[in-house]
Amino acid sequence: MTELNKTVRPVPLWLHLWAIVTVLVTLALLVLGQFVTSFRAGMADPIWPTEPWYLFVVGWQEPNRGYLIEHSHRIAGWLVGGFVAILALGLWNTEPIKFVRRFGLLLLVALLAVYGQFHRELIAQRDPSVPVHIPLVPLAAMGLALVGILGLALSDSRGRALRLLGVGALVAVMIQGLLGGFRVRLDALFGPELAPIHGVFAQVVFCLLVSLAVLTGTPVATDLPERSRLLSRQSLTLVALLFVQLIWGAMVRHTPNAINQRLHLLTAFLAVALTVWLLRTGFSLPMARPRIAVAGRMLGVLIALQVALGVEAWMGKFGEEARGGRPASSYLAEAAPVTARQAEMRTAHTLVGTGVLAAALVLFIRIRQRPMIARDNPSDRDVIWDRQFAPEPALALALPTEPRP
Amino acid sequence: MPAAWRTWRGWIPSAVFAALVCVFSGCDSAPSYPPTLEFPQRSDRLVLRVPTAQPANLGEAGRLDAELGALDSLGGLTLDPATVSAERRTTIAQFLESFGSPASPVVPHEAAERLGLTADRLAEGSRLFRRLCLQCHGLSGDGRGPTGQWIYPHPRDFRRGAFKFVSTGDGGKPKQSDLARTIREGLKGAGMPAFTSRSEEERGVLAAFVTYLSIRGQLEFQLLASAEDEDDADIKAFARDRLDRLMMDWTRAESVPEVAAPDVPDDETRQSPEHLAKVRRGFELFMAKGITDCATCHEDFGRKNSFRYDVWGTVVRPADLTTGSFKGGNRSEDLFHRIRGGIQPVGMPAHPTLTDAQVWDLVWFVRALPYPRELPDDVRKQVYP
Repeated sequence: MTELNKTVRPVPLWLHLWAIVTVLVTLALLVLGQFVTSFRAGMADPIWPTEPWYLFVVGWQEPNRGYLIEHSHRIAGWLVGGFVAILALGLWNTEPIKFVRRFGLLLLVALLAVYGQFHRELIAQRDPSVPVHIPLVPLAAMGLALVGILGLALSDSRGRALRLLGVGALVAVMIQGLLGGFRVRLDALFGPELAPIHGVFAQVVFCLLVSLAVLTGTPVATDLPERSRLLSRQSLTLVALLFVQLIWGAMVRHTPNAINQRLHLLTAFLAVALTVWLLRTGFSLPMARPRIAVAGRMLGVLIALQVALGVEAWMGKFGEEARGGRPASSYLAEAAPVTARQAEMRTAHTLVGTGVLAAALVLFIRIRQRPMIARDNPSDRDVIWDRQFAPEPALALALPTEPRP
Repeated sequence: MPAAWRTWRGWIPSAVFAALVCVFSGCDSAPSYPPTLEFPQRSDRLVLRVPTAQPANLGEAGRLDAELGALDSLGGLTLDPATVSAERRTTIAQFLESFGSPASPVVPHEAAERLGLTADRLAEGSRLFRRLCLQCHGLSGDGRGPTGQWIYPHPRDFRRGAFKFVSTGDGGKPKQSDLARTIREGLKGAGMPAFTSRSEEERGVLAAFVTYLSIRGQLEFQLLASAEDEDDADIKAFARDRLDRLMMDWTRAESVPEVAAPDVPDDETRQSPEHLAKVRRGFELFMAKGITDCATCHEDFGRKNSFRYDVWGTVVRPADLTTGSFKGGNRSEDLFHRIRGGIQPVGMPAHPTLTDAQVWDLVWFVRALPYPRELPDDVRKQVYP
C-alpha cells in the first residue's frame, strides 16, 4: 500500500466508539419518546422542568404507567445530553492548535454550566412566590459562549468540520430538550402543537449523531468514479424525501387531516421507488458496491418493513378495527383511547422510519465521502481532511485530471 | 457564479415548495372538527346512585370505568346504556341532533342567546376545546380523553351537569365567570392546568362550550336514566321539559349577585386581638356539632384520610385544611362560597343558616389554619398539639 493510500482515523478510536454508543442511547430515548406520543402521555405530568432524579423522589402514589413512561423519557433525555456533551468535548479536544483547544473546551464547559443554570432558574419558578419569567441572563450567556465557540471553530485548522458538527449536535440536543419541556409547560398556550415539532427535531438530532458516528470512523480508501454522480444525487434526494415524509408522518400522528394523510401515503410510494432505483444504481457499480453494501441492504430491509408497519399503524388509527365497532361518523382518531397493540404498531412504524432515514443518511455520507491520506508524522491529534489523492492507474481515465480543492 | 451556488440553486424552488406544502398540510393553529363528525352516543355507565358505605381507598388513574363498574356490587346503582332499548336510544339520539355537531354546536333553546351560547361563540369554543381540552376531557366532555387515563383525579365529566366550585349556592349551576375562573386558575393538586396565557375572550368561549357540553350531556343522562319511566311517545315532550328546566337553572345562576369580599388583612392585622377573636369564633363554629359539623368530615382538620363517593361515582377525600392549598382557589371569596354554598357534588353541605359574619369567621379560621402563629394560643394547642 502506498503512503498516499494509507489512511488514519480522523479521531481517536474511543471517540468513534463513544459516538456509536451515543447513537444507541439516543435510539432508546426515541423509543421512549414514541411511547409517550403513542400512549398520549405527554401531559401525564404537567410540571416542567424537573430534576433528573425527580422520578425517584416523588411519592409512590404518583407513578401510573403514563407518568413512568413520560419521566423515563425525561431521564433518558438527560442521559443523552450527557453522552453528547462528552462527545462534543472529546471532538473539540482533537483541535491541533493548543490555545483554540483549551479556550474552546472552557467555553463548552461554560455553555453546559449556564444551560444547567437556565434549568435551575426555571425549576425555581415552580414555587408560586417566584414570578414566571424568561431567565435572560443564562440565555444571553449561552449565546455568548456559543458565538465564542463558533468563532474558534472557524479557525483554519484541520478537522474543524467535525468539531463544528459536534458542537452543532450538542446545541441541537439542548434545543430538543427545551422543545420537549416547553411542549409541557406551554400546553395551555399552544395545546399539543409543539409535540410534532419536538418529534421532527428529534430526527434532526439523531441524524446529526449518526453522521458523527460515521464520520469519526475509518474513512474510505478510494474515491468513486465520475459516473457515480447520479448515485450521489439519488442518495441526497432520498434523504430529503424521507425527511419530508417524516414531517408528514408526524402531522398524521399528531394532527391528522385529509391533506397530510394523502401526502404521507403518496410520498411513501415515491420513497420506495427512489430507494429501489438508488439501490439498483449503487449495486450495479462495482466500486460503489462494497462502500454501500451494509447501509444499502439495511435500507432495503427497513423500507420493506416500514411499508408493512405503516399499513398496520394506519389500520390501527383509521381503520375499522380502530373504531372498535363505533360508527365512522362519530370516530375521531385523536380522541380515541389507544390500546397497547396500537401503540406498539405506531411506535414501531415511527422508529423504523427513523432507521430508514438513518440508513439513507449513512448511504449518502458513504457515497460522498472522500478518501484521506496519512500525514508524514501522524499523531493522535491529527485530523486528516486533505483531499489530494493519487488514483489507481486503471481508474485514471475516469477521474478528473486536476486535484480537487 | 460560484460553483456551489450553481449546484444548489436548482434545489431552491423544490425546497420552497416542500416548505409550503408542509405548512399548509397541518399547521392550522386551531382547526375545527371535521364537519361530518357527530357526537358519539353515550356508551359508558351512568351512575344513578353512589354507595353509602365509605370507600377504602382512593381510585387510580386509568381505572375509571373499572371503578364505576364495581359500584353496583358495593351498594350503588349504575345503568349500562346498552341495556336501554335500541328504539329508545335512537329516539334520544334523534332529539340530541338538535344540538348540532362538534364542528357546529347549537343550543336549541331561546335562552341560549341570553347565556351567551350563540352559534359563533360555541363554534369558536369548540375549536379551542379541540386544541386545548380534548386530550383530557374527551370529545363529548366525558373526561375520557386519551391523556385522561394518566391523570388522577380523573378529568371532569361535564355530562353530569355538576360542578364543584360554584359561586351560586347549594347545588346551583356555575356562572360563566365561575367556569372561566377555573379555566384561568386551573385546579391546584389536580391535572387541570392554568390557562392564564389565553385571553379573557378565549376563556369565555371555552366556558360557553363547556356549558354547551354540560347541557347536552346532562340531557342525554336524564333521558337515558328515565328510559324505563317514560313512554316513547312522551320522550320528546319529556326532553323539551328537561331542557327548559336546565336552561332555567343556568339562567338563574347568572342572576346570583357577586359577593363583596372584605380586604385580606395584612400580617400586622392578622396578629391583632380583633382578628384573632374572629379566628377563634371560626374555630368554635368549625368544631360545633349540629351547626356546621365541619369536623365530622374534615377529621383532624382534614389530616385524617376519610374517603367518600362523589356524584360521579369516584372517590374523594375532604380537603386537608392544614396545607393551605385549595383546589377551588385560595381567595377569601372562594372559601366563602365553599362554606356558604357547600360543594354539593362531593357531599359538602351548604350552610344557608349561618350569617355572613359567621361564614367570614370560618373563612379567617381556615386561612389561618396552615400557619400556627396566626392562630390564638388556645386554638393552636388544639390544632397542633
